[in-house]
Order: sequence, then structure tokens, then C-alpha cells
Amino acid sequence: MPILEIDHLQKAYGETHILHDINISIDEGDFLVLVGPSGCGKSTLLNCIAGLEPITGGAIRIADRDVTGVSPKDRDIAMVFQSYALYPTMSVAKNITFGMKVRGVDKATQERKLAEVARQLQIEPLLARKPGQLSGGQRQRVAMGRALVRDPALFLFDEPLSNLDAKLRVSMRTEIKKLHQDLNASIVYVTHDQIEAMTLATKIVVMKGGVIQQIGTPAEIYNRPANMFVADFMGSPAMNLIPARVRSEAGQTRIEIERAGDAPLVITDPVARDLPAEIVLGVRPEDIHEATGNAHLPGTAQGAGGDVMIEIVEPAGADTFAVTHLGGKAVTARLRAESAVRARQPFPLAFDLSKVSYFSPTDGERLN
Amino acid sequence: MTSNTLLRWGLYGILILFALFYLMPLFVMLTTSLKSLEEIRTGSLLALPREITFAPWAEAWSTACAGTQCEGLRPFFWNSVLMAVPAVLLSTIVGALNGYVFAQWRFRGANLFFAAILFGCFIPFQVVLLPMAQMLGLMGLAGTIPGLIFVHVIYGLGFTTLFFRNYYVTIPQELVRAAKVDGAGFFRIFWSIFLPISLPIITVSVIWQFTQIWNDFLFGVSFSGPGSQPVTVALNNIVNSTTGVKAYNVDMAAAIIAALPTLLVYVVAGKYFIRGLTAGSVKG
Repeated sequence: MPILEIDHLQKAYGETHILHDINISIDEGDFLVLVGPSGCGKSTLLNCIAGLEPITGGAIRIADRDVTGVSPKDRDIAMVFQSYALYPTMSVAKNITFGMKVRGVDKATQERKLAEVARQLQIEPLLARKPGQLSGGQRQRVAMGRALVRDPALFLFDEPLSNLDAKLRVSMRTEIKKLHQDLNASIVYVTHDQIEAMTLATKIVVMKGGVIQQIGTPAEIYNRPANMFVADFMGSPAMNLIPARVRSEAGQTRIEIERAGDAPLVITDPVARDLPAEIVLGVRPEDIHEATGNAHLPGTAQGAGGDVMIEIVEPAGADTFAVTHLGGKAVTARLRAESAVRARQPFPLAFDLSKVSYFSPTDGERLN
Repeated sequence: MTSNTLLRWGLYGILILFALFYLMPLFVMLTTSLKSLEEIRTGSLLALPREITFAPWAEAWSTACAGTQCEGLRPFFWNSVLMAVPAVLLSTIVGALNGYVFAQWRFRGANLFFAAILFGCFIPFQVVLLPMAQMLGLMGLAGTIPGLIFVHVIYGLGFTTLFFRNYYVTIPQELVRAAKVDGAGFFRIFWSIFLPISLPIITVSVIWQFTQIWNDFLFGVSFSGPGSQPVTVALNNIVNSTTGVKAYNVDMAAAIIAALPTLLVYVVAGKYFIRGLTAGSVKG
């Protein structure tokens, strides 16, 4: 049974269309992440799901019930806000029980649930404090406690980690993931951080300009991006997008890439593909390897001519990033830390063609 | 001594001079009110009383004549209390609700409405006198204390709405959204979340409104009847009703009595007033 179904949702402010024909469906226990750059409509979409923004067209169903015109309090949802939105004059305990108090839940149940959630989030010593006396991470926990205590059909998270420092963000991310696993909760989570999206989601929706670009599992989004926007947005460092020319011949595909001050780099994809003459080759930095003498990888940059001039070498501890120029674009390769690559020297590189994406240079759509 | 400390002492000197200058009228009023008429006639205006007497205060409070009525300020003082307290409370409560709506529950045309209310702050008193008199007549409130309360509430709403709106506009919208998801409605959110954080701005509103309403003369003299005149009108009448000799000491005592409540409000809540006025601009 889908826990959340969004059916042809439209949202406009007057003539300005914010969301175009949104269709999403998630099952119980799914962790859906809405990701995209700022202004892509992801927070608006979350507010529409919560009922905090009226929608212009379409329908929303939560737990098999049409909630399109239903007010937020009757949608069986709980929400965690970016600013945490804790009630400033109430103690932590009152903050967490406010929702139950408003709904007329009896005192004993309130106490029991409060104790339960406080233990779960390890905020028992904080219950008597006011939000002003808490650190950012503690406020974050209280905000989550306020949502958890409600035990709703659907949790909504609006960029809950964006106000935390980098270290705390990583640890809270792990905790949210753990909570999701422990509770088997259904969650919709908004973020602009693609790493958060990748690590947390069971399902990702990539949005841009109010339009869904791709829906899929993190692996699908990462390995088979639907277009150049998704390819560029997801992953860090970003996928290399290299303009190239294609010639198909005798059951294989020859790909020519411009190389500054040298003959074009020619690589051969052993699979015959139906591609236009001009394409954009998308290849992740970790799918560019050091070419060894007896390369097993398909599409090794051929012979001595396959060497490319390395411009910058960035050792990053676990990996070494090497930057070169191909097809007029900066291209980053993620190499082994102990790689002998040197800046301003030619270096043999090989593309793992089983993992590359081909895009149309005109509309940016995926071709393979 | 460095030039810096010299400057500082110069600054203090100037400030003390100004303070003395502004305190001079109060000094004269106070000393005059404690002198006998005999002493006022013979002594200097600035001299301290040779013999302190509280008789003028007693006379001002309970026997001085305002027109033909010789009961002192007392009945009018209570009129003012009966008028000012409900008017201050009502205009503050309604202003808080108005401000809450304008800041957090934006509706179509809200800006126009707010502009209109803001405009109300700048309408001169004289302009509304005639229409208001007609209105009070229609409502059957002419010449009564409830009528005066009504006038002061309406006239004060522009200011109180502005105060509360500017205060609440600094509160993040997510707070209301969180409460909505939690299941709270319009009044519940106001009562449980907004009112508890409003103490500074309530203080501002109460001081402002109390001062305005207590000190008002024009509405008081225009819309009151014989039994409902506020203290400011009575003060004017006492000062203007002379029987032979002008009793300066009684006039001064009456003026101080009439001004005491506003003075008291400032002394008690003054520090919150400044804090509240700047609360919207400085976050913290």
C-alpha cells in the first residue's frame, strides 16, 4: 500500500508556476529525499504535502486517504523544520507534549510517550530546559522528539541538518538513518545536499525549476542519471561531462575527444550504439583509472597517444584527484592515493566504458 | 588629567545643566504646592517653603471647585481610572490580535488593510471630533465613560496594532507552521506561543496607551458629560474657576496629582519600555 501518493500536483502563485505536474508514490517504510538546488520547489512541495501551502491542481493521498483539502493537523503527519521552530517559552518537555496536549491526549499517555522519546533521543537531562539554553544539536533532537512522539503515518523533514556544523551534521545524519531503520518510519526529507540524499534515501527525487528530473534509488540516480543536470548535481566531485564526436563502425563505437595540443583522444566502446554524431560523454571521476600495460578495462586510451597532460594533482588522503583538460572541459579523475601522477606531465588514463553515460548535447537527455 | 577625562567632566556638566533646566518646573510646582498662599505672595518663586503645609493638596483632592462642583479632583480622578484602565487593556488586546494576524496570517489585501490602520495613527484628533460625536450619539454612548473608552480604543488601535505587528513580524513563520502541524488553531497559537513572548511589547503598548489616554484633554472635554469628565478636564476647570484670589498652591497640587499616575507607570515600567521599543530591531 503506498503511504504517500502525489498525483499530477500543480502549484502556482498567480501566473508563476512553482511546481509542474508532480507525480510521486512511496511505500510504507520508504525514505524519500527531495533534492535540488535552491529555488527548485522542493520545500514548496514538502509544504504542499504538509498542507501548509494550498495546491493549485492534482491530488495528495496519505495512507490511502485523500488529504488534498485537509488541514495540516488532520493529515496524520509530523514535521521537523529547518529552524527547528521550537516554542521559545516552553520547556523541552512541553515542546514535545504540546501536540498531544492540543489534541486532548490524557496526562498519563503524554508522560509515557515523552519518557519513551526522551530515552530514544537521549535528551532526558534536557527536559526541564528552555530551547534558548540548548545547543544546535540538542535543539535538533528536541525537534525530532516533537515529531516522533506523534507517531504519524508520515514524517516530513525540511532541511533539518542545514543549520548544524559539518561534524554534527554527519553524526545526526547517521542517527536519522538509524531511527528510520529502527522505526520503519515513512519519511519525506528535503535537502540541497546530494551526499545527504545519497546516504539517507531509499528513493531520491531530483528536482529543478519545479520539474522532477528523475526518480530512482540512489544507485540508479548515481549510475544512470536521466540527464546532464542530474549527472552534474549528484556526486562530488561532479561527473565529468565531456563533449565528444562519435563514429559507429563494425559493431563498435569510436569516440573522439579533443585534446589540447595533441591529436584527438580516441577510445573504442566495443558495443555498437545508436548515437548521434555529437554527444556529451558523462564519466564519474572514479571511473577514470590509470591505464596499465595490460588493461582489462574496455576503452583504454589507446597506446602512448592515450596519455593526457595532467594540470593539477590534488592529494586528498584516501584518493588523489588529477585534473586534465579534454574536449575543452576540465576533467577530474579519482586515482589511487599512491598513484605516480605528477602535475604538468603526461599520464595514461583509461575510461571504464561499462559505466559511462551518453547525453545529447542539445537537450541534455540520456542516450544509453 | 588627560583631555579625555576633561571631556567627560564637561559632558557631565552639560548633562547636569540640562537636567536642572528640565527639573526646574517640577521644582517650582512642588515647592509652590507646599507653601501657604501668604508665603507665595511674599516670597520668591524659587525659594524653598519656610513652613511646609499639605493643606493645598487636601483641598485639591477633595474640596477645590471645578466650576460649580466643589469636590476636588477625587471624583474625576476615578473617572479617569475607570476610563483609562479598560481602554488600555482593550486596545492592547485587540492590537495584539491585529498585529498577530498582520504578521503571521497574511491574507489577500493585508498590506492595504495595514496601510489603512497605519494611516489611522496620523489622523489629527480634531478631524474625528464631529463624526465621532455623531457616532457616539447613535450608539447611545454620548457623554458616558463607556463612550470615552470606545473613542480611546478606536484611536489607539492604530498604534497598538503597529507595535505588535512589528514585534511579531520578527518571529519566524515556521513557529506557526510547527504549531499548525501539532494541531493548534488560530487562538491556541496566539495564546500558547505568541502571548508568552510578548511581555516587552505589551509593556510598550500599556505605557504608550496609558499615557495617551490619561493625558488626553480634547476627547475628554468633547465627549464627556457632567458625571464622566476625566481628571484633565477637571484640572482645567479647577485652574479656571477662581473665587477672588488665585490659589496657585492648590492649582500646582492638582496638576501634580493629575500627572502622578503616568509618572508612576514610567518609574515602574520605564526600563521595559526602552527594551520593548528596540526589541524588534535588535535580535537577541
